[in-house]
Amino acid sequence: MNQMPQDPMDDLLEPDPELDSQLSTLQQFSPIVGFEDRVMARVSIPQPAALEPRRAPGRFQRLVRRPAWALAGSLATGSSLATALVLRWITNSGFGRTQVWAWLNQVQGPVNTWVESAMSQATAYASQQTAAAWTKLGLWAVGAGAGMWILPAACAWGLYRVMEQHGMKGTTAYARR
Amino acid sequence: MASQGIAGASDQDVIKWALEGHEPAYRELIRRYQRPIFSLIYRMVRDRELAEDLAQETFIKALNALDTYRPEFKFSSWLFKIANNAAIDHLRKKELHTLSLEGAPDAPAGDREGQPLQIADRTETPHDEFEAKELGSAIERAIGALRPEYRQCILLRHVEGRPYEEISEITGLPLGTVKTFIHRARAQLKEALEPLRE
Repeated sequence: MNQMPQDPMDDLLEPDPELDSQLSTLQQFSPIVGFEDRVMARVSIPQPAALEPRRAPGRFQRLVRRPAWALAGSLATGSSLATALVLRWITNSGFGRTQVWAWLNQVQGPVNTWVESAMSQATAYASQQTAAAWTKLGLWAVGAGAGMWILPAACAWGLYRVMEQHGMKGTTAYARR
Repeated sequence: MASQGIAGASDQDVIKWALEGHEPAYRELIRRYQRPIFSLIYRMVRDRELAEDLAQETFIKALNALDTYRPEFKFSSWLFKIANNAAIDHLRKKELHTLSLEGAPDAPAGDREGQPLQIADRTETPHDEFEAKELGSAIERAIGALRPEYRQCILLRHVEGRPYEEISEITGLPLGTVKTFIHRARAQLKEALEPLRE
């Protein structure tokens, strides 16, 4: 243990054979018998079964373990499949480009009507909700305003009670604290 | 890995085996490093019982966190680092405790002067006598008188035979600082041992 590897720094250190010889007499000490058992009593050894899933999981496995990634992957796969099925149906039904455009134009009218109707209903609902919220806020503001008057009065009453309990003695000292 | 071959296996193989849940591998790691780790801590704190406790804590901490050990580093360096931190932390806490007993720096002037810590006259117990013998040689006493930072470097270098780069890694000190500390420690040891030279 005391045999040291050669190191260029040794040349820079002041050589002192006597000191080196004394340092080389330093030996290792042993702990008291039973050290190993005392340590082992407080070490938790992993069970091989518990280690199985931890042992080098593949990239795919690690990815799948994250729920958000799994959900996103499922959605992406699902939408791709749906698109592929629709395209396949369109191709197989013998539609040409002109037929597809004609069909889309035919569908466009009712869809536009439905979208417009939904938009106007949503706008009306949002305005109604906003107006209701403002009304509630106004009521709360009135309440809070009243509370603002009550609060100092309550504080003053509390302070008076505390001072009363102390027999009004040393009031100035109490206030100075 | 057959249990009869474990003694000759590399640290990395033993660790791999330990991580697979084999108790003999854990025991082998303790057997390999209990003496160097204990010796380092003992010479740092100079109290056998305390050194036992700190060495035990070092192994418990390391072995329970074995799965966080990165194989690209030497296991011995990792273990020495934990042991060294334990010893240095203890010495720092002890230093703080001594300071607080001697009077806090922001205490009123009367208190700051502080009363010297009164230690009851203690007769040397067999335990103390044993320690005095173990660490009683001139070189051991001279090492004990070094600053903890110098002591850790000189012990790692001259008792454990670690290269400078590894000492730097273990202590967290820059390489140049390690070299300076060893140089100064050697100079102080030389000075301390001068009267004994013929």
